[in-house]
Amino acid sequence: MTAVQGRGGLSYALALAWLFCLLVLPPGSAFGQTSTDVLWAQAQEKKLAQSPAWRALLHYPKDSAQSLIDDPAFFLTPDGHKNAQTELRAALTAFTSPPSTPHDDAAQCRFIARYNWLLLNLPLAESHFVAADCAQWQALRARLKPDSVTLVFPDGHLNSPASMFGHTLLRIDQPNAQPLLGYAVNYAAQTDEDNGFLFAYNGITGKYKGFYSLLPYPEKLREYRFTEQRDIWEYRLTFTPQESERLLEHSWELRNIFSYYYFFDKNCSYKLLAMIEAVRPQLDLLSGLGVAVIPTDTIRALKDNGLIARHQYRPSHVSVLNRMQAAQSSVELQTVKNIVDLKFDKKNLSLPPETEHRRLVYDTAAEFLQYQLSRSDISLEAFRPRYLEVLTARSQLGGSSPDWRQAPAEPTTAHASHRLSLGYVTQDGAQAATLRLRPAYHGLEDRPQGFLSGSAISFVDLGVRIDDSKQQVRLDSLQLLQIDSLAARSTLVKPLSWRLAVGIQPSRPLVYDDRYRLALDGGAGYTVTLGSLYTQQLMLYGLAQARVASAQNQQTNLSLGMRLGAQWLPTARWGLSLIADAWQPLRSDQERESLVQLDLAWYAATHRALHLSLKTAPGMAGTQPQVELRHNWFY
Amino acid sequence: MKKFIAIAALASLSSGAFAQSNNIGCGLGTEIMAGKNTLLMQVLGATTNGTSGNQTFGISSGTLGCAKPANFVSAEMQQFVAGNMDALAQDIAQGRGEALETLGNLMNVPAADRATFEAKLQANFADIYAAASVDSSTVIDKIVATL
Repeated sequence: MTAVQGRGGLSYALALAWLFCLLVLPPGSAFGQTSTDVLWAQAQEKKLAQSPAWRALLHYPKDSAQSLIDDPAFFLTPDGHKNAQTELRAALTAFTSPPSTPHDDAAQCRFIARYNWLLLNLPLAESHFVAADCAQWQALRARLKPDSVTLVFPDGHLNSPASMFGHTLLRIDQPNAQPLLGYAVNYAAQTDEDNGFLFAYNGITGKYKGFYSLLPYPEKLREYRFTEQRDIWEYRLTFTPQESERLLEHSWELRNIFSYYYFFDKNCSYKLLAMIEAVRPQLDLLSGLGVAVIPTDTIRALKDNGLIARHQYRPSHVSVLNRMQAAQSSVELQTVKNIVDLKFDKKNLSLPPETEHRRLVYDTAAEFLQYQLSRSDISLEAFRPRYLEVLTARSQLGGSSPDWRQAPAEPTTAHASHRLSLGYVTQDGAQAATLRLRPAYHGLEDRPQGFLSGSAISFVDLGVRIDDSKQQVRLDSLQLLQIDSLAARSTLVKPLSWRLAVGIQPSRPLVYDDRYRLALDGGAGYTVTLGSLYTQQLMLYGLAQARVASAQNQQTNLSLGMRLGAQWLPTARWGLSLIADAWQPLRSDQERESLVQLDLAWYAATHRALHLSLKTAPGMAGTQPQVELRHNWFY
Repeated sequence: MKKFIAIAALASLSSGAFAQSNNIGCGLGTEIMAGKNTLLMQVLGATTNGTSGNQTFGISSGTLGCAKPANFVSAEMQQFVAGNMDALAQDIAQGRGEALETLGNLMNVPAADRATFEAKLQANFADIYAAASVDSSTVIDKIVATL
């Protein structure tokens, strides 16, 4: 009995100890094992540290052993950016420890996405994690009510083909998505640099820190639609409400976290892909991206992965203005100008008799005033009373105005960014094959669908000639950068057109004798369109030009010149362009130059085109016209 | 509302980049402001997808510094009107548009009454926007009074 009692006492003590453990230690713990150990064992069993989801949360690309995030504050351990294992263990320790005060600064709140993901994927986590009261996070979540996500792509802006690469950001919407109530998640380099050269240099070499920001969407609209006059494309992603919430959690983790910003590759588009991967870790969007990540290419990648549900177009003020102008007579447009310039006696204002036209006159005036203010053409003090007067007059006409948001061709319907050309050229009885390669992006001669009309930018266009008879390969030209901005002038919008080209070319046009020069051309002038302003079927332009070019004996030649050009796009399949250049050197011992280029293009398919071009240099002794047949592939 | 402002202010301060140089303002025209986009900046800077400026992580920066309307309306509506002054004025005058639709949603106007709602605001435009110096709180109060 005693023995039994004794045994009973022992088992009673054990039971008590067990009960004690039960109360003090969370269930599942063995003696001497911390919560971290227990959870770590389960995490290892489930291989969580190697899982694509955990790695994506830490921004490790699928093909890399290192995170894209440079800020140590994004990790709990010093080598968290290259060791997903220790980072997971540290997270388990942090999440099982009592939260630091204030709770908002605790790991449980700062890393809410990781916290929630582990809760979901580690069955034992629920009983071991110590919850924190994340008031700031909860307030944000309650305010944003994440339900869907839209990718926002502001297209290039008028008169700045350089911006053609565009920008991308994400928008988090509430249920019944109302864009104006949404919030933008934006990744951008942070700088107040005003000097464009420094900005570009620092940006390319990664001297700026990039940060994610969260702002009401109208603030981003203001920046792009008003300040920069860029059209915006919005692509609704196929994210579920749960995935949308995860995106917000992840954005929250990334607040105030920096990474060095590289304009060409580690840019806004690249970073947004990393965020999308964090939400859908089964996707692989980051591996194998080229040296330059171009926003439209990333949109294509998302489309190919079934992430895009639908798209919507939001024109800039200048786009709306151009459509409105196209619908009015010159008399009506003059009335618009008179209203805006206050050049009228109210009684003598020649308004059109039809109410519909009258409405349009005032609608155009309101749009024009906003355009003028965005360009600082008028002051805020001048804007306010005029805007109000125009809108008051409009409101008195009653009725609702038409919608001017008809979408042009969507950017992903455009040709791809890389171009490869194979050609056959004949000149003075001799034949040669030509091979050209251009990594980015769009030339005036290329199929215009999906691009801003009259805008083109080419990076590193390299061409070689393979001479048939002499069995020789020689450089045709190496165009480093070429930008054309042919922005049409109209009654209300009067932009300057300009071009810039820098590259290596034969010393004399059309003469291939292994003598080359480095030339920098710049030009400015006017462009007009005949026919519909909006479709810009026939465009005529004239530019005054200047050239700095290298010459023999380490000299530099300066020339002034003139370019006259015409482009006719009769159908979506055909294009005809004519460019005539004339150059007058500043030094009298130099030769006058000329070059006339005629190009007929057949846009056989989205990514294929056939060109027949004629180049001649009239008046230049010893030059021979050349005819080339060329096939372009875009990929 | 106070809580939201406090949170926004906190978030902004902690980001160390509370640059309110392009404050959204509360009046007409502040929605549209000219940028510092010089041609050179456009050629070189914009090539590169990078934009400078405000990196706040705020959720209601739109109403910071704007007067409060006398009528009780949601923080969301205050922020919406302050942040979309020009677009809303334009939509009300023209009797259609996204800003007007969003306003109707924020005010829970049933679909059947939308046309009346929009026509009423349009008819009262001159009263809602009585002076060039009108601010968002006045606009809200006048809209509420109109209905």
